[in-house]
This record gives sequence, structure tokens and C-alpha cells, in this order.
Amino acid sequence: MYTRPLARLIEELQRLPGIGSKTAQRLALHLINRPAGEIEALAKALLEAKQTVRHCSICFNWSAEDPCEICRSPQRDPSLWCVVADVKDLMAMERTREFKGLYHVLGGLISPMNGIGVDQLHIRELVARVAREKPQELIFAISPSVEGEVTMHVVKDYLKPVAPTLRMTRLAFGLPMGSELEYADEVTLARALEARQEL
Amino acid sequence: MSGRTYRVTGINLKGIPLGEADRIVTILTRERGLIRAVAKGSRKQPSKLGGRMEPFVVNDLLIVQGRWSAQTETSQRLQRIVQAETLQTFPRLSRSLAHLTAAQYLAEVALLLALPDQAQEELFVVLVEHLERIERAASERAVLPLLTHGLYHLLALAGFAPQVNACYFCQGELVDSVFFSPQWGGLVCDPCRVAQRPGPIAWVSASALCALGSLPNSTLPLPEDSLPLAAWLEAERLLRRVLEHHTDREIRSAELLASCYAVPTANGQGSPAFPEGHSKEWASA
Ligand SMILES: [Zn+2]
Ligand SMILES: [Zn+2]
Repeated sequence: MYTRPLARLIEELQRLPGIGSKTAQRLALHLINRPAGEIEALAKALLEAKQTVRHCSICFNWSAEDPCEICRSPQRDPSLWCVVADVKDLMAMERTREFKGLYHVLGGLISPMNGIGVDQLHIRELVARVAREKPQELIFAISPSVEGEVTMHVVKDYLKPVAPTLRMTRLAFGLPMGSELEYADEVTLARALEARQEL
Repeated sequence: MSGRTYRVTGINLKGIPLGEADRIVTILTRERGLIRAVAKGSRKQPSKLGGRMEPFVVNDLLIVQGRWSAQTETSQRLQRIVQAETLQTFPRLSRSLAHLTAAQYLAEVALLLALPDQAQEELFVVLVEHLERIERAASERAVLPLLTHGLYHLLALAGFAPQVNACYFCQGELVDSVFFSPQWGGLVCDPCRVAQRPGPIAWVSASALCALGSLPNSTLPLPEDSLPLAAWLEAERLLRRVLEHHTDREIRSAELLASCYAVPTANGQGSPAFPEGHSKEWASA
């Protein structure tokens, strides 16, 4: 049995996503072996992040400043927005270095069986923001799952009345780069077929 | 992890992320009822399981049961999907919020009624059949009667089908005031309500009575839009009470049902097409 403070640390680590009891024990024993200064820095970083990071009031990105760095940047094209489900997806788009517009983070996907509908997401905020700032195009960068598709339909239906001329596009979906056709699953292959492009 | 393998046919009802790239899928199978299994790498690209592990995909599956040492925690004792071949998908369920809500609603009902590791061929067949009908529904409006019908059939399979054509107590014809008792399994005439005092009871509107009466048929005999949406919502709510009475659980998808029939207006605020309030009708007799 672990001594009380160590057991508590293991318990706390185990609450983190993707961490089982074995990993939690390994992490705890690793941490306890590190110099005190390093652990203090980790604890400080945790606290500071929790105390200062908030949702950007415009796009719902995580940021220590409001509005966030992207919303404030003069290098960004304010006529082109990318709608994503999650901040993780925003980061994935940023890593491409191809997208120079602004974002809107919905905060998830519609999922009736998990109690997530329009009111649990930042959809009404998007509608108000579009009406106010009048962008020219919205790119939906949303996973092509059943819930992702429905979320796109719903957002589109909410936006149509306030912005009848707004161009709305979605990422082309298809086969992942480097994959082999014969190993693609039927669902992905059917969607790739549907979204086929002119050669 | 080497262990015994088995083959099943099943429909994915639910998936939750596991670690970085995996997910745990809850599957209703023909041969073994409800199973939970890990789909390794299915949230990563490229993955050979990928799209096959999405909700509402029917697969032929090869599953390996792990061998565990006695110390392995129960939560870690997960079986693993090694192969999946897709038989059927329901891509058009994503065409509207109503279609998805109805499909997830029936999935939740099946999750409540299914038994682990027992053959439940009928439950599988009935669920897939009703998902097909919902997928074919041309309008959001047509979804609600089909959902209610599917709910009734799933209740019937579990032995919970309420009496919807005559009074539960006297088998008498239903005239004038008609009531519904989830606890006593169905409709109650006014004299029996006074005489039997069957606990919480709801007054049933004439159009909802008509909707309820059509449910025991294998297909809905009425054109789906011949009754007002409110009648179907009322019938759905009464059946849901029966399910809640027997399982003591709530259907989360039901919360979104009313909002599915809301129309977005110019200010982006949805307004329900009809008033919600029927909650006051539940009175103790
Ligand atoms: Zn921002
Ligand atoms: Zn009676």
C-alpha cells in the first residue's frame, strides 16, 4: 500500500483522461523522484493556466487575453471564418499554416443522447456574430461523423435567415493521405465517392 | 492479448473515446445481445476500423476475448475488435436534427432493454427495421410518428406494451374522457379511473388516442401527417412514461425532441411550433 500522500496523488492522476491505474502509479513515482523546483514549476503552471485561461468572448478559443491572439491579429482575414467543434481542431487547422482567417469554436457537436443540443453549443453566438460582422465565407472544418453532419445542417439552417448570401463550405473529405484504397473502410470510401472532384 | 475469438453481427449504438486513438464501442449483436469492445486505433487516420466504428453502422465482427490475470481490474477486462466488415450504414440519418434525435432515442431505448451476452435476435431486427424507416422519412415531420411506432415495438418486445385500444381494467370501449396510466400499462376509462384509483394518470386527447390506437399495427396505417404533431408528441410522452416506470431510467434524447420541431426565425431564436405544457395533466387520481 502506498503512503497516504502518494496514494492521493495517484488518485488525482487517475482522473485524467486516458490514464489508468498503472500509468498513474508510474507517473506519481516519476514525479516524486524529480527535484522540488521542477515540481513547483509544474504546480505553478497548472494553477496559472487554470486561473488565467478563459474562453475568448468572440470566438471561444482558449486564451489568457480577451479577445484572443487570433481575433486581435491584424494579419488575419476577417471575411473568412473557420467553424470548428473544438479548440483541438482549431489547433490542427493552425498547424497547417494555410488558413489565415478567423475561427468560431462551437464547443462540441450536437448529440441528443448526450444531452447536447443547440443551447449547449455556441451556435446562437455564431449567428449573432455573423449578423454583426458579416463575413463572406464560413468554412466548416468538422469531422464527417453522423453528429458532425447534423451539426453542420443545423448551423446552416440557423444562419440562412440572417445571412442569405453568406458562402458556406465544408472541407472535402476522402481518403487519408498515404492510405491504400483496398484497406479503406466502406463508410469512408462511400463518402469519398460522394465528394469526388473533377480531374 | 491472445484469447478466444468469436464472430457476431451487430450495430454500433454508442462509442466513447479511450486514450489517444482508441474507442470503446457498445454494440447490439444478433447472437449475444449487448457487448462492449475496444476498437484499437479507430480514432486515428489511417485506420482500418475507422468509419466502421461510427454509430449506426452494422458490421460482421471478429472479436477476441482477452486472457486476464486475476488482478486485472474489471474495467480493464475489455474484449477487442480485430476485424470488421460493414453490412449496412445509415448515412441519411444525418440529414436533420429530427432524424438523428429519433435514431439516438431508439438506440437509447435498445441500450436500456438489451441484456448483456444473451441472444436477442428480435431486438436487433426490430431496431434496424425502425432505423431504416426513420432514415427513409422524407421530412422531419414524418420522423415523429415513426419514432413513436418504433418505441412501441421495442416496448412490446420487452413485454411492456401498454393497452392502447381498450380500457386496461374493464376492456371496455373508450368514449368521452380517456386516461393513461404508465403504472397500470395503458388506457383507463373514466368509470374505472374513479373506481380503481390507479395512481398517477394523464388525460389523453382525442388525437393522441387515435395515434396510440394505430401503434399495434406492423406499419402505421394512417398517412403519417394526418394527425397533428402534438398528438404524436403526446403519445411519445405517454409511452416514455411506461419505459421510465419499468426501467427507472430517463431517455436523454427526449429532451431535444421538442426543439427538433422548432422553426428558426430571423433573429436566430427557435420558437416551438406548439406549446410544450402538458406537465400539469399528471394528477393523482
Ligand atoms: Zn478569439
Ligand atoms: Zn374501464
